[in-house]
Amino acid sequence: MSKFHISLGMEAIRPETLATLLDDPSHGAQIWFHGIVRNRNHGKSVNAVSYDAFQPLAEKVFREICEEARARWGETLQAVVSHRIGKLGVGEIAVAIGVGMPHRDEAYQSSRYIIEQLKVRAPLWKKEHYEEGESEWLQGHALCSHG
Amino acid sequence: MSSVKIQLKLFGALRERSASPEINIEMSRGSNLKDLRKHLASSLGELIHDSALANHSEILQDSYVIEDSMTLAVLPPVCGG
Repeated sequence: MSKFHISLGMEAIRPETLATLLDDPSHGAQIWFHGIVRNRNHGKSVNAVSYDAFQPLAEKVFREICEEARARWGETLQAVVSHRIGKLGVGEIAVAIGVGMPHRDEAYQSSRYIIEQLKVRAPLWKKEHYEEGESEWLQGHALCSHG
Repeated sequence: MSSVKIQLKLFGALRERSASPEINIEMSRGSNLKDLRKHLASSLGELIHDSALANHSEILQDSYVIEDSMTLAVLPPVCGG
């Protein structure tokens, strides 16, 4: 079973480099999702977004989500999860998720699962910087610990 | 009752509720994280009630008892991707 390729760092995400990590010849489908910094949100012009992360737990959560996808869609699943931290300009890739599967249906489903789970479970935060000069941390999903 | 030292690492919006991204406090040995949360509310505001407390590998429940000095991450609601 291949290992997952997990990364979280300041360096720019290079899709052409990540693409080489999905290499199973039995896979007929690869899906790549790139989350990109966009120039508008909630009616405001955005210049940049700063990403903050609690790195050790974030990487662990990425890996857990990939394990869950593999348990659900098949042991052959290959996955790449790469997330930026630091200040990114409009158009830069904030997150890249790649999955390889024998067929497209499982590839699409597992890709969607990984990004949706990452957004609500990984300890990551983003602060938008607006053209007017101010900046704001975006509201998010609470990680429950009140049990 | 003896006290223990807690180092708290703040993330996201919580970083701006404090002069420093790290806070050092003392709590009574045997306190739990619910007690810690109450203690932090005065300095970090209501956001502490929506935040998770974690060590390096997992989110801890409020019933977790602080037996010794430790480092905790304070994680406000998340928003990655």
